[in-house]
Amino acid sequence: MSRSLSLRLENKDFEELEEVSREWKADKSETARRLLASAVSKWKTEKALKDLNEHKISLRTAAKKTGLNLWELFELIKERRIDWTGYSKEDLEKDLKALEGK
Amino acid sequence: MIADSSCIICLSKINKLDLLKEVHGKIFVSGVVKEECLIQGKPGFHAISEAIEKKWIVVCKPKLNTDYALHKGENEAINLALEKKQAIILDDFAAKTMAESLELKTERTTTVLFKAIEKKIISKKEGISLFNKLIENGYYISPEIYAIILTKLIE
Repeated sequence: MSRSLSLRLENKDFEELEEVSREWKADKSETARRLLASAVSKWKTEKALKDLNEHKISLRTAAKKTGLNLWELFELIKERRIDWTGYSKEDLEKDLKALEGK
Repeated sequence: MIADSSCIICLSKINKLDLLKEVHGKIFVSGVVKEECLIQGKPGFHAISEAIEKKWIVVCKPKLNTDYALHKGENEAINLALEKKQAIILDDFAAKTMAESLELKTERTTTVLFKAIEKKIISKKEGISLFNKLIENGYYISPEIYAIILTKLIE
């Protein structure tokens, strides 16, 4: 099922849409749809990584929101240095005790 | 000991899944964890398959079905730990916070590494190298805490 939307673009944006449309050999509606889908996907990924970094969501929730499996998400986390662990000073104390055999 | 996916993935990425067996012996994981970790072409595929075959990683489904407002995978891992009355290795902040609120004992993947050093399964030198590899592969530790740990490891 599809729904329609009309929107007014600034001249500059319209010309850029035409440029992409020519490059992709697609009409302007199709080009706009593809660009919108790509932007929404990118936004969802950025939002999920931000929420993960702020410990608002779990790893798996982030994976679901980005459409990635855990392995793929780990690659993204690595590249972006996301704080998904929330490794705290209490964790540090516990780990140092483990290191000392306590 | 119960393990969640992050531990198995992180140790597989540095080719050290066997540390789990050497430190903890038998590990229980949920079906979701197996599905998430055992992916053809990903690091550790053969090591994880072999561990399941040799039964030091045991896949089991918890009877408890409590929903902690987390993902199914985290719910299952926590339920398994509650059911077996065992500690759980978790690295994800949200899941770890929930498990601790249920009074479960938790460890991290780093704890496995530090216990391996303490038990002399690996040398301190190897431990430092593996700790750095964990971080290079996306295990997040703040620079401030990293410096403290590294100092302790070098001592």
